[in-house]
Amino acid sequence: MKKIVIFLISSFLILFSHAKAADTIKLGILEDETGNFAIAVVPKIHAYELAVKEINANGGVLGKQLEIVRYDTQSDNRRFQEFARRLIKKDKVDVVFGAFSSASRESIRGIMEKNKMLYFYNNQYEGGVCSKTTFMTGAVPEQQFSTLVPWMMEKYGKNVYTIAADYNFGQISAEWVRQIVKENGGNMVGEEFIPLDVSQYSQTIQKIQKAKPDVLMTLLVGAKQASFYEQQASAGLGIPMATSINVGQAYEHRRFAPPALENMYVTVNYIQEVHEVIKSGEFHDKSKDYVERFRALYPDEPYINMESANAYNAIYMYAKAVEKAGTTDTMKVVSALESGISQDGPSGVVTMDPKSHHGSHTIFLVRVGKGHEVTIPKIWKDIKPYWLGDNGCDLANKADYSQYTPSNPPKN
Amino acid sequence: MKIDYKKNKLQILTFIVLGAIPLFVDSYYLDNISYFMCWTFISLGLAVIWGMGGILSFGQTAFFGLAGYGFSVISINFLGIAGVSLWSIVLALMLTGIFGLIVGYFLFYGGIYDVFIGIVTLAITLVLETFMQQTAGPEYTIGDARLNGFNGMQGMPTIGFENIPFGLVEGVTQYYFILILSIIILISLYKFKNSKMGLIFLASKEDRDRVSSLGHNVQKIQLIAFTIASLLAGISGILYTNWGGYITPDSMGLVSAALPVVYVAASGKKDFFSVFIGCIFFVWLSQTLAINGKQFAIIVMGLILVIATRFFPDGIILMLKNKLVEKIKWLQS
Amino acid sequence: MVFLFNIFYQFGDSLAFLLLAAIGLAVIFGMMKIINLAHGEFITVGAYGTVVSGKVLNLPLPIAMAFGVLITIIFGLILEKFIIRYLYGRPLDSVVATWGISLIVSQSFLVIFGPSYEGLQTPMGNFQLGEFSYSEYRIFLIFFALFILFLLYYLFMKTSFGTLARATIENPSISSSMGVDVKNVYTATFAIGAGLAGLTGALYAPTMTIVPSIGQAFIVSAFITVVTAGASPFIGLVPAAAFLGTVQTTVTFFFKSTIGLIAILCAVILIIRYLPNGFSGLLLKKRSK
Repeated sequence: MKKIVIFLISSFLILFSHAKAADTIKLGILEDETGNFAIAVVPKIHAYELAVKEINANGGVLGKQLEIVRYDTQSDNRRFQEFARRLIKKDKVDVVFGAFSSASRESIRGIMEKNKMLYFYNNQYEGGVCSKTTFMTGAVPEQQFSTLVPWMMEKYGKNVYTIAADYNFGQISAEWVRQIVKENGGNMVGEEFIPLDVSQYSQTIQKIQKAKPDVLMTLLVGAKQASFYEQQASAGLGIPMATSINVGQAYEHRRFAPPALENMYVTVNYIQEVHEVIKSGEFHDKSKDYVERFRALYPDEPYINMESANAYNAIYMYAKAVEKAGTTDTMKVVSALESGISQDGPSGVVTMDPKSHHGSHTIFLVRVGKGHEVTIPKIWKDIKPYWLGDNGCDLANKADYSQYTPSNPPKN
Repeated sequence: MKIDYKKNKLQILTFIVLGAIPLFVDSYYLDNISYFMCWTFISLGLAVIWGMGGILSFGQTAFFGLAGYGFSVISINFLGIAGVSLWSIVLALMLTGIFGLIVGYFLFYGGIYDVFIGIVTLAITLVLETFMQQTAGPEYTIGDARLNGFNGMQGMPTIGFENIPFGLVEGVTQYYFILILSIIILISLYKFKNSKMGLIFLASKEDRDRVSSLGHNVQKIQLIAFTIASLLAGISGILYTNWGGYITPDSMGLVSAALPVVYVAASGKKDFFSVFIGCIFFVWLSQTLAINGKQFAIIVMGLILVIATRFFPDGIILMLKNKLVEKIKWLQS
Repeated sequence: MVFLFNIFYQFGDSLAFLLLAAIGLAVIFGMMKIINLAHGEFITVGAYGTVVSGKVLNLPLPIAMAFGVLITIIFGLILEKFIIRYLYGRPLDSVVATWGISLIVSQSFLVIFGPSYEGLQTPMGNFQLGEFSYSEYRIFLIFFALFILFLLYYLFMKTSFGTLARATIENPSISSSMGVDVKNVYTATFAIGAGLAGLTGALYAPTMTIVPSIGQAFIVSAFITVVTAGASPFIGLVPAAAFLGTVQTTVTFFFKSTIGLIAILCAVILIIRYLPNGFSGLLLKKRSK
């Protein structure tokens, strides 16, 4: 008799735990909470948590609560590889969000695709990933440079000099700049590629001065390379700078002593100052609302950056797609995402492009002033990620799992 | 191969336990343990040259990366040919061994010794990393294989036979392959240690000049040991690349170069078995800390290393192993 | 004239960086033979000490820098007492211990101060010469680096303390039998080395981003410069830094920075191979002829 009771109780418990498990939708998150990339990534982690909290408070998705399973990847590619497998095989999550650097994204994209795991990459990057089960919510070069470069050339002059980090992101971004400068009748008066470990820029500054450019494109990545800004200011370089990288991710304008970033222009898809600078209208209201909700949950957040907006939008887009598909089955959610999902987020409406799986963006042109105060001279609405779609990537109709570059476009 | 069963009871017991593990754990844990074991070969290589010969090299990761990239480039270029993954391993290891010979020749026949070997090998590793990091452009393509710089290389085939459903893809076959390989290598290394060449190598750590004055060609033996170490590092590189389907220049950076040194020193560089177990333990530990320790994971890791050198200079794992054998009489012959 | 000054500036800037990166390590590794993988962290302590005291206590920059150096000396003393003194004579074991220290310190800084800290502005201004403008502070650094090195040379080669320190480190048992308190000499020397690394951090803090890994930018340069300097670091450091700086600046001028970095690493490999006693060995040999 005792044995039967024990058996029944344990079966109930097992059934109950299984049943309970099926009541949540598990979101796997792989982000660098510590390490070199933490500055720009911690706001993303909090944005995921904010979105999940809000959706759960509104009844969840398909009647189920969203549950986050998150690992700190320590800005280390090996951790990405280890924990990706853990999320897929042990935690058995329904979707994965994460990665900051392209290297860490690429270290896990293969295993995500192989296991048909839906994967959202929510960071700006060099563009070109055309993958059936991957969705990118971050900004790409055609969005940030096709707006920034012609504007700078019109305002300051046609001679452009680029300094870029000497690796994939820097090289490809520089390639985009070169192309756009040429298309707009400008001159590349110089280009310098600098390895990620370099922190001293006297020689670089001299080279720039010799070339006398009107516009200096600074495509520098990481804390070491960011030392350039202080050094160029103390050398009195005085040339307007343009970038797609700084301010919007690691809020250098708050961390560096002025006037290091004076006269720097950045194209971002969001920053927390949007509603402080734009006093009324759609962008003011949406930004203010987002920041207020964010700070209610995280009052000590040092800065709410553009990648946090991408992370936030990604969760909502996933939720919408799952509702639309009626299931968390990867390929069905993919189809739902390809049917034209939009999200009205912190920076306005973001739409997922079915051909390339990239998001369209509102692009704000940010100018940093002498005291590091921020102004927004121009806004471009709904800039589409046109390059992949124009060059043969059509994921809604043709599955693919590659990354392309301007010199290696998809072959039709 | 003659194995002294009585003296090695602890080792045999350990391998029996390891062999039985697949019966008790699921595929995630099994693949995770396979991953930990991938790192043992590079550490064993370091145990050979540092533990036996007193040669501290930061270059093991250079060979790791070279073999990983070599395997990837060769196998991607010959995709589709029967058994491509297998003979690209052979070719990649040959390439790594040749590079090991060249570097070793430069070091030992060039009169470089002690701490300078560390600096030169570190410089070589950093040169490779710096060069590889910027190979993102399309011009850096070897045949069909694009090096892809900092973002790393993918698309290499997994090790296996095309027509036979066995392969080192995941799961049980990968695990047993690595385990059996470990056993073979450990036995071979013990043989080497007890061989004439091994004894001379051990002696050369104490007093290099005296050993050469006795007529032994110390440089040749150092060169052979160094090449063995480079091949072992290469095996780790290939297994890791196969496990993850991915290789980056990161694997040749400053941190990656220091890790094998740290694992070997903390485990007990003089004993191969301790290094084998210790390496698995420390990789597991750093992963577990990362999962559970969040911000303090790295601090705890650092504390363990400091405590290890301060209180257990011969290695924590070796010390534990000796204590265990001491306490449990049955383990002694 | 403009062109010459330009060359002087680029060369001097590179020289200053290599020299200042190396000075602390020259004492701890060059003299005491401890492979200090935590050298970067000493620099970080000096940098943070300067910036935090400058911002929080509102100290003028030179005082903040002195504060940074002091903090690093204290930090070095604590490390020496509890860990380092067990590593003398075990150069290869010092690798593991100092690596552990570097992990602890860098991560602790991340936890305490966050991933980034607001920096200080570079002091002094800039001036124009022809088509180029130059940072006055960086020129100051060139002269200051040479000055510090001269001071160190004097301290360790010409004073009785210096001779005592060198002799004790070279042969502790004889020194001890002659009544020298070996422990104190080692501690004092280590503290000087730590303080110098802290000085590097303090000096460069206003020119770089203040992150817990700020010291990592110096560590490779430090090691290769000290090794190239050779057995007698205070004689060899300037020629070593000059040589490596020239290689890097020239190669970067003709190719690009990445090749410059590779060139400097290859130069070190060749120096170790063909000049095993480094530049100091070369100079001492010439002097004795």
